[in-house]
Amino acid sequence: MTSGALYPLEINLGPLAPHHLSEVIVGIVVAGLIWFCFAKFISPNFDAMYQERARLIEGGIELAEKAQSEAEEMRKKYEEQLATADAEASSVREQARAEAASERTRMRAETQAEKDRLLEQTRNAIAAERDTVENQIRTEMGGVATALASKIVGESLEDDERAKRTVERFLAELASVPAQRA
Amino acid sequence: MVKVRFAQAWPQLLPLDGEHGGEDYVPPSLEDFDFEGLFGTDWINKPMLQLVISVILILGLMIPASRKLTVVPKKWQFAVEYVYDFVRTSIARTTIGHGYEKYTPFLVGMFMLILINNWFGEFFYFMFPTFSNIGYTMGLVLTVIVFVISSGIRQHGIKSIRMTLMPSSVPVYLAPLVIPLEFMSNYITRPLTLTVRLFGNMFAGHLGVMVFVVGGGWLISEGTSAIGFPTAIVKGAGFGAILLGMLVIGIELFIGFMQAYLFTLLTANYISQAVSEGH
Repeated sequence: MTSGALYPLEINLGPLAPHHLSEVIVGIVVAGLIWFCFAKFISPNFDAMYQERARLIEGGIELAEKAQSEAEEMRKKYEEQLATADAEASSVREQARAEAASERTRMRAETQAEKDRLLEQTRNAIAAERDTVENQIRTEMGGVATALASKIVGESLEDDERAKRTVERFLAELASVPAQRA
Repeated sequence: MVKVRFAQAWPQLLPLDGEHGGEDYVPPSLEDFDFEGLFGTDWINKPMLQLVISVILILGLMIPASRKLTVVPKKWQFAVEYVYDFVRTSIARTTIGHGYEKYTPFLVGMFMLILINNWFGEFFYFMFPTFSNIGYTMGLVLTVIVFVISSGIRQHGIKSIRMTLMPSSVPVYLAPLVIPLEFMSNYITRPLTLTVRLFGNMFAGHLGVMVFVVGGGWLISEGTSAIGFPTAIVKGAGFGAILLGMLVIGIELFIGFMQAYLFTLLTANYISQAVSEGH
């Protein structure tokens, strides 16, 4: 270095300087070749494989989801059926209860009617019997009265005393009969 | 020179010339990162062939594998898919979010390219991480920057450049300050850091491995009591250095993965910023 030169004309970079320019060019060519071949021939195949793999995995998930939704649907259907059956049973029970109640009412009414009918019948029978008995009594009373009259007439002439006794006896006879007029 | 002072102070620790032992010890240096051209050219060299081999390996594995993909992975597919899905899910999707599919091919490609080339540093017959030659790293990063900018333009049109330089949330009067800063950050700092981070890690790692392995190897094969210690101790130190070198190689395997991951993650981050709405 002379005193006139402020800067060294040539800086020695040592190992930091390439030996030949060709090294840089070869480096670029090799890197470019690798870049080109990976982009053109290698990575498309890898990408296709990764996509296919993702698709398969997604497909598996989809299948599982489908099965799950089917199971869910089935469960809903069964639950619905169960609910329907429940409702049906309760309605049948309700109906039976209502029918029983109406039957009971009907039978009670029937029994009442029968009872009334029987009561009426009995009353009628009793009334008829009483009418018959009254008529009979009346008829008999006529006969008895006639007999008494004939007795009185037959004996009256003989003795007042005896006639008096006869009447009393007759009255006593009458009294012993428990007939009453209602 | 530091080296000279070391050698003068402790000549037995840094035997640089042949006066203490057999053959001269040549410590690993920058020259180990510069390769002769092959086939009569100066540009077909070992790192370049490694890059070509890595491309053949990646494409030869991935193209046939991607043609036989099935939804339920088979044994071999599981490994391929593991790598692909690692970048796709834990880098592209988590960083970019919606629409990450468009950028996944580039990210996966970059990740595999960097990972294989980094691991070449630990593999027999290669034993050299390609990206410790900064030229190749520069080429890679230039491609990344072009990809990031073109992603932004494809998403928002030409105004994506304006969105990058002048975020809409910034008040107009700050433009003279913000535009140069954003320009620096997006078009200078990012490529520079991306380059130097990958290159530096690989370079330093490889140098570290060489120091242990080459130094250990020299101690075992050439080291004698002439350097001031009994021969047994010198050779034993050589074995120790080789064993530690193995440990460093193991660490380098991890760092190679880490850098590939980081590079891809940052690329995804830049893409995400370029294509996002709010920026």
